[in-house]
Amino acid sequence: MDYINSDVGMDSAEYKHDMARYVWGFALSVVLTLAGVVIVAGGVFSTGLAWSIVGILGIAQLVIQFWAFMHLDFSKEARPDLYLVLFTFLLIILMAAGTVWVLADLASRMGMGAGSM
Amino acid sequence: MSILGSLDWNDIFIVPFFTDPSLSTGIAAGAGGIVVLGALAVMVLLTVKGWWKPLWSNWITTLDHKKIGVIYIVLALIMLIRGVLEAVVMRAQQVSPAPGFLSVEHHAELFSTHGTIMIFFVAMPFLTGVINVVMPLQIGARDMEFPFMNAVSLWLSIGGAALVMASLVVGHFETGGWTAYPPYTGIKLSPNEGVDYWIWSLGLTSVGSTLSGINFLVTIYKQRAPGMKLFDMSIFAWATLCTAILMIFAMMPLTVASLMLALDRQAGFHFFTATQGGNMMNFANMFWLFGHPEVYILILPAFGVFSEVIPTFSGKKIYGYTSLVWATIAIAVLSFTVWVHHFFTMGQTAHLNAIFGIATMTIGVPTGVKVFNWMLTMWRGKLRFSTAMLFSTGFIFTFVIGGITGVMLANPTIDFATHNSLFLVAHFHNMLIPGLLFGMFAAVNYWFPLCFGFRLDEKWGRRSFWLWMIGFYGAFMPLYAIGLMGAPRRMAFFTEPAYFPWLVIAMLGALCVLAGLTAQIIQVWVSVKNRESLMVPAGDPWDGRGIEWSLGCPVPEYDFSTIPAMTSREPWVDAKEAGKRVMDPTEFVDIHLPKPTGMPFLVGLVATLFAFAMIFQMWLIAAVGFVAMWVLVLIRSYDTDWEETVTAEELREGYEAHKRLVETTPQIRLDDEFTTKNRGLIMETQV
Ligand code: HEM
Ligand SMILES: [Cu+2]
Repeated sequence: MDYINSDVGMDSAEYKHDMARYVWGFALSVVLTLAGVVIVAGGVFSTGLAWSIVGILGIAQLVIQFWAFMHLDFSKEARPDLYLVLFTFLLIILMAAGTVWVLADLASRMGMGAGSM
Repeated sequence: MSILGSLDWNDIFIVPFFTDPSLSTGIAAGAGGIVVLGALAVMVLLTVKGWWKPLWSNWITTLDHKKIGVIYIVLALIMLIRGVLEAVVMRAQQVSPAPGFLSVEHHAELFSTHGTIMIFFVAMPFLTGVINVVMPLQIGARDMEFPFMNAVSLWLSIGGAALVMASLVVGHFETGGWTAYPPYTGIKLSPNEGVDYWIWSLGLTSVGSTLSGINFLVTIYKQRAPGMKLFDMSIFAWATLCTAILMIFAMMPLTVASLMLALDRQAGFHFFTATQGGNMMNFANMFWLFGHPEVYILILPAFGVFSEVIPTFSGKKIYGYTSLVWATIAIAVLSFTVWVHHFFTMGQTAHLNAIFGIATMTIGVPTGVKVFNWMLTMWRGKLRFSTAMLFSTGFIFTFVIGGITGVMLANPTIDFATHNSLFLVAHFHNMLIPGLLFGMFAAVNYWFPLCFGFRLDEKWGRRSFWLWMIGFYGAFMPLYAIGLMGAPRRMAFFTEPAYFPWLVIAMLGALCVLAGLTAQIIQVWVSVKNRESLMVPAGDPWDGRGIEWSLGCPVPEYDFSTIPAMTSREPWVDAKEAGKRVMDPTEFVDIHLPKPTGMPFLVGLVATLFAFAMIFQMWLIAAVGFVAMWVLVLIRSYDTDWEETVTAEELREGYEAHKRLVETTPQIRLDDEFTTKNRGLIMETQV
């Protein structure tokens, strides 16, 4: 951040704004992580449902950390970075989903259950 | 186990020749001997000429993107010589009476090293080098965003190449092809160090390439001249941008897959062994998740080069800039959606194959768009056939043939008949020789003056082109024919007499290619000898269009005395049309350049030591090398005194000197382009 090398100082509006974001990011991350732990440890939900909720919480945390720590939002300055991150996700999904698809398809032809892949 | 791990006497290159003398072991000993003697000869030359010091201070320690680029290209050319020689030996093997003069093992080693070298140590360093030299100059930057990391990438790549060379002298390379599929490359079937050579030499370069990709991308994002929007960039810079993205994402699956293979081999893991729940098919899957984007990493920069060379030598601006850019982007994205076409025959359902077959054919569309862009750029232009232009037009011709056979292979039903045949080998050489090598040769002929201040000899350049072109057709068209007749790839010898005449033609073609390579070596030699008369100090020897041609040749270390004002997509063309012979300066300010440092070289050295130790299971040495590598990086991170200043005054003097030079350079016409009258800055409109 520019204020580290500049003489704007620690009481500038920019600094406060960023600091608030960091604190929010940290707090929300902790809350979401604990929520995941509670859901699993509580044992109220069925396994499948618990898995899905934890997955959603994880994705939410990812988004929050991108926003809080990587300064990603819908503003015009952050647009190129946002595109790069979205593109990255596109590629990761292509590779991961593609791999699962190919291997599951192969497994189906070998008379194996999807689990033994 | 001793500190030297699994290394023993029999691994030294000449020992097998004495214990088991034959032509095959003789050739192996000879090849190892060439490496050792070559290295010795270079050392003697350096010592006699007193070049050690300049080599160290001007080249090895440099962080200048142009010099780093040149070193990459030199590496690529050295490895190209080895790759082509291996190809000729393979061709000779197949025309000699069965079973030939090479052992089956030795032949397998040859196609494995040939493939690995050509892809990872010729193609990759070549294009990385060209991008290093040209891209910053085209976007008005003074260097890469991360010059130190750039040098680290370089030395990691050289380390990888050195390991492949070392495999000629110490031990063996693997025999499982450049793809190294398990289970064959697992520890059971390939117990010696060959596969580990493959894993760790690729490990070094693939990390280097990933870092290069990051460097290129960030440089393009952050270092463009003020006012230059992405859609103001040259097509070459666009090609670099897309290549960089592919490098960042595509090298990863390879690195991961090869490390998983290493764990299988050395640590008893079972990622790819069928017996314990592993699945070797996932290796093929991961390898081609890398492998297909990789072929676009290889081809896109060359597309970029052609998009610079063709407009210049047609005297016209590129036709359809926007469509060309979108075609490049489309290719980059689509390249991640087609990898399955490399293993249609592995056993998936026809349904899945059909989808990937169609996706593959789709890539033909943007590629076709590009071909029309280039042809329409030439349409009604005043074409001048320099060496660079010859390679570009030769490319269009030849590449289209390769593209057509590619679309044929994209059809799974056809692929079932041609998979692993010489038809496929013909196809991918038909893409890579024009679509990669010709592009890089064009780039060297075109941009050479930027680095060295003189043009390359045209006569030998044109000869080399014709030899390469004819040699290519001779060497690979026959393979289409015998491929369709059923000849499989990777065969040590054939017993089918019908193949023989075709193999003889292929052999002659390979010799012709070798002659082309020789002509290029002569070209460089002759040009260096006649450099005085080939000097183009005023810059812009071809009436070029990019802003890199607004600089004098050779380009000074700081590249631009002032960052050019980007008033349009082609400000240098505008300036020339306005009758100017230098760009107007913007603002002279003090600038900082990174100081030379030996640190990247040392990082590369200990990384190579680490990799070598991993190959021969010298765990202690490996640990030391690994730690040392990071210690060096840490030390560098605490170094605050790493920049030196070039003052505004020096920059102004540089600018004034260039201006005076330009003004005293006589004006000549385009027709005199290839004569010694060309001292730079030729123009169509002048006298
Ligand atoms: C310069 C002329 C070249 C000649 C004469 C040549 C010749 C050959 C031959 C004879 C083979 C073995 C084919 C077989 O399996 O029976 C081969 C394989 C191969 N070549 Fe080339 N080649 C040339 C250039 C290149 C270039 C420029 C590249 C890539 C940039 C390349 C990449 C490969 C690859 C990847 C293989 C497959 C290796 C394997 O089977 O694992 N070659 N080439
Ligand atoms: Cu492919």
